[in-house]
Amino acid sequence: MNARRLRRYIDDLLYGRRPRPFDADRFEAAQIRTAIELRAARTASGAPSEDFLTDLQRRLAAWIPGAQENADPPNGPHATRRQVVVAASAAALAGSAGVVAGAATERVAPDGRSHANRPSMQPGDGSWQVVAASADVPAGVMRPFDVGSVVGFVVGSTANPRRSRGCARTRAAGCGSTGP
Amino acid sequence: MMAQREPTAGAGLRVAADTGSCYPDWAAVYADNAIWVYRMIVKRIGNVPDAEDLTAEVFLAALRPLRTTATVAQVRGYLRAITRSVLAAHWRQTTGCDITSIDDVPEVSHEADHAVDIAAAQQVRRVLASLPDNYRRILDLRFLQGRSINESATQMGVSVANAKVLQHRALRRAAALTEKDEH
Repeated sequence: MNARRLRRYIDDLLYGRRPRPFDADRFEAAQIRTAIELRAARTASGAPSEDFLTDLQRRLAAWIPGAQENADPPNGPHATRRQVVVAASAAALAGSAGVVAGAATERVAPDGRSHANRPSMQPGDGSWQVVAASADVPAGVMRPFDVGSVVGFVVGSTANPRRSRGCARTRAAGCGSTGP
Repeated sequence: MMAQREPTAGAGLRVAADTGSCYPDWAAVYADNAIWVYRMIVKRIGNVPDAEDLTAEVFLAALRPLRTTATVAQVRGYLRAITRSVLAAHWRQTTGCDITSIDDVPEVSHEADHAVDIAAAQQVRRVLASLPDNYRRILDLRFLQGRSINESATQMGVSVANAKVLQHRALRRAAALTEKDEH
């Protein structure tokens, strides 16, 4: 079954489509890596399109407070598939696994409003993990973390009222989260 | 068009060549770094749709909490760290394992990074040169020249079904050679 999925993944790469996910074993991973290297050798510059750069700049202007007042929000008509998927995953996560509360608030509602008043959720099947000491994450500073199954960033934020207790906002790729 | 090399090229709209200086605002950060971040991702992802999404994810994560007092060098290191984490998360979500990665170093110089690009291209050429002619030809037609399977089959004088089998076997052989080289 995986052989077919691997072929489909390679075909998607060759046709410039977004490959469909599947769990690859070690040698399948090596084949995907080789295919990517071959493709990279073909696209010497690998430059992004002007349309993409312009669109992303406009979305960032809407995302960053004060940068632009009347731009579309990032989750508006130009939201990427990934943002939508991440938001959906985060919503599902918040309602089921109970790992974290307010998962991916910045992606689900990237309107710049504070979500600090949301109630905290206690871990169900999951657990809180220490990813950094508060002293290592002063306001405005980001530190990446990797706790095995979760990779993300922790950001010190003056906008977070819990900051005074030494708290920070975390963002986990694929299942963004907020918590102490 | 902005600069193309990662992360310290000097052409285009690069606004802060001095890595000890600071960017005036987030727009300058974006203008100076968007292309090398994208290039770093696309050559490790192999497709444009995912590369665009991941690049957007990097900047959406990076710019809002960014300190305006951070130096250019710090910003680039920060962007590189975020890109590294975003790429790792992408592979965990899509294939369950790291297919490609970004070195865990604060910042790579232009010269060092360019050398990495050259080494990667040489590795591809070395692997292709080690393959039997028909394997090398099908990979060249499909991956390097971007020909369709029908065009490739015609060029090689084989059936489409045969071309598919050749491509599958050639990629397996190339991957095995690459793995052998790495170990």
